[in-house]
Amino acid sequence: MRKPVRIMIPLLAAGMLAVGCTGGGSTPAPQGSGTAGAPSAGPANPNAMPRNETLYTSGTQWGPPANFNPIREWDSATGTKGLVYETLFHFDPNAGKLTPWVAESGGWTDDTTYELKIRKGVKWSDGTPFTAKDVAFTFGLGKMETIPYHNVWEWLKNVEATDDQTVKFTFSTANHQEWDFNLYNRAIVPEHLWGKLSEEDVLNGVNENPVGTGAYKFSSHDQDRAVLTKRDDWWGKTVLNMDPKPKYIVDIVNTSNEVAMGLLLQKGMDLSNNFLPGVANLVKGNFGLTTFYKEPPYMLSANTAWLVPNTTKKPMDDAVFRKALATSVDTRKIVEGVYGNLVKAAGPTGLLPQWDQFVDQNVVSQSGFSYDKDKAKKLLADAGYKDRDGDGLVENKDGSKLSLTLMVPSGWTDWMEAARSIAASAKEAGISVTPDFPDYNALVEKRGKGDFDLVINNERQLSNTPFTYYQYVFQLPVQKVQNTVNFGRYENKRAWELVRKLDQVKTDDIAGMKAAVAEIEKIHLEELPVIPLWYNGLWAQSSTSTWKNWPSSEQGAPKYAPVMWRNWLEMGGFETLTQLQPAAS
Amino acid sequence: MRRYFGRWLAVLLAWGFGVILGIFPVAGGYSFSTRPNWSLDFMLDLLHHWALPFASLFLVALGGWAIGMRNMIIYELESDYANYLSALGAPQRLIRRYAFRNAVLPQITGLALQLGVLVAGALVTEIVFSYPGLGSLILKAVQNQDFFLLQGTFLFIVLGVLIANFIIDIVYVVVDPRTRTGMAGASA
Repeated sequence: MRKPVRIMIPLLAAGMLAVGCTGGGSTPAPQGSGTAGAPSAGPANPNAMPRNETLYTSGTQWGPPANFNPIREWDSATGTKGLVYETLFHFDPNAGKLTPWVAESGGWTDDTTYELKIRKGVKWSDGTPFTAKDVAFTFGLGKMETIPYHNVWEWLKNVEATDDQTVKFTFSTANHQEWDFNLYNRAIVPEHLWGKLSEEDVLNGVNENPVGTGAYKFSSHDQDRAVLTKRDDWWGKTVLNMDPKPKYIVDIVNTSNEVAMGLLLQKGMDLSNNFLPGVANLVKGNFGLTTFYKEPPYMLSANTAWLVPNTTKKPMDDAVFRKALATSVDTRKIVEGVYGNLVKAAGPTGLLPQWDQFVDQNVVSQSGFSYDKDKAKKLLADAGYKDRDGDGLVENKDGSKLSLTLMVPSGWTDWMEAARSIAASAKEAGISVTPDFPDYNALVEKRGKGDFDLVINNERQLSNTPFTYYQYVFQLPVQKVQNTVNFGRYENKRAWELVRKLDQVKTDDIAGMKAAVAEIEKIHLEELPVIPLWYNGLWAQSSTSTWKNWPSSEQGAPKYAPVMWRNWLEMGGFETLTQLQPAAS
Repeated sequence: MRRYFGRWLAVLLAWGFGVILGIFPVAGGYSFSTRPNWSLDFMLDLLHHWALPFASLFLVALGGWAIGMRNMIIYELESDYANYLSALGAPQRLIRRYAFRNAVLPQITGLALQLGVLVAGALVTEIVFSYPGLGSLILKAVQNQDFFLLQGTFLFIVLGVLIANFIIDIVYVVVDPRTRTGMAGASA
């Protein structure tokens, strides 16, 4: 009898441990249900979302939802700005016009004063009325140096809520173009909650319980998703007569584009804003997928991809060499070979198709460039870049070896292929270019410090004005670290002067804008501080299994940009949601 | 090698059972339409999402373990006690039963050692199935240079391996009579 008892002791221990172990292993579950349960104000069964009321999206978040802070326009959870927090205006890229949103109207009362009327009856999701004070407060936050729109205060003198519905902005310089950009890009935050926060919390706070004016609110989130639920009391329903159809929006965190593709084909996802190579075949192959266009390029254009030469290094400091390099690149090969016609080759100016009216054809025909291998060779030879050692590649003017490195982040497969293609066509013209694929963070650091020869970049999206485009190209002064603009460290005082002049042209003065842009275009094309390559697509693949009436080029279909990316919900993303229809009906 | 094969198999499984047949989900740890809660539906949902990733790991590993077991059993069947038993005229089934009990011991030790690798080594599977596990968490922590998260996950892995090893040690008492005799004071 003694022996069995002794055996029982370790067994008992093991049993208890196993119980303890399962208890420990499942702690995340109650935690998860805790976050889910807290704001559960919705459906009968708060844990399930019916498929026909839910929109599944992906392509925005590449890591767990990091924060719900609308000030952090670059890494907040999908929909933080646009669905939960709202902006004063929305921008319609097709009409090229701002549409009033929580603002009712706005206008310049004199040369340096802008008066904004905001709508009555808008409420924050905690019930507090939305007033002009909130707007004044939000722009006042920009006085903190770390806020992304801090530079507004270089030319904004004062902002004041004169009554509950009116905000008066007084400027020292009226930068019309940039101001319009700010009007539809800045999310308004509630003063009664944010007024108490420290500067650190405003910029780096997670903002776990966001209170916005928007049509949705966050209902739960997890490592691999963020879930939004529609607010029934959203002001826009009656005022704007708009109603976003999906009751729930689940934005899925991407681990890879293949997974997004799998989910799309399984009809578990409705809108994928991922780059899916070969999607052309799926669109044609009757898989229930649609894109904006039925034929190439399939997608709308979202931004321009440039080849950025470091203009502080030899021989990229020579405009003739840059031109030769530009002429040597066969973009057609990239568009067809790398992208399978999912993108469009860029025009010489690189201005997006939506900005076509600003392209001055005279300037382009005079100073533009296009792929021409022989011309590139001639340009090089005439400027004194000659092949002295007979290896088929040119040397520097002083005879030293010329060898450039083209950096592209590792893992960005389409760009890696494009870099290889650029290197190959440059080599044919006699310029030695070697592709290099460092880690993304390493690349960003080197690019910021100007420690590179060539990079590919596309960090300027479509906006209300070509000003933002040229600001990217020409902004001065060049800082020690260039984080967002002018990576090539190109210095041209006259060009920057012209860009600033463009900034001050009134946004309804199209002729004035055209004239200003034409002058800048001329400098851009003659100097080529950045070489436009192709227009990156507004990747959007949608499944018609649950929701239909997706935006498309066809007659009768909505023309909005079907995209959930950050800063795009104000440019048609939200409007897309209002146009959807359940596929079953 | 095994990992590459595992990834390949995982992709095939996701494609075949997920996209073509549509009977298993291709991504996520639980359905995107539910929130975690203590219900049978949710547990079934968890299992449903777990099945394919598990199968892709299990099918690949199974062969290796089977070969290991086969070698052990051959070794045991050729040992002295097996020969002695058969000389005494014991039935083959009895001999095999004894051999099995001895052959499985190194396998259990191997399992204990394998657990640590399993947690961290399931990374590829987790990526293919977009499964929110420790492996993909480690990868993200590395990519974002989040050292605290990295330390935390390693702490969990270390704890997990230690606890698993402890349990296996205890299981040994049951499966290996010799340890029991040792505990009772006799020498094996």
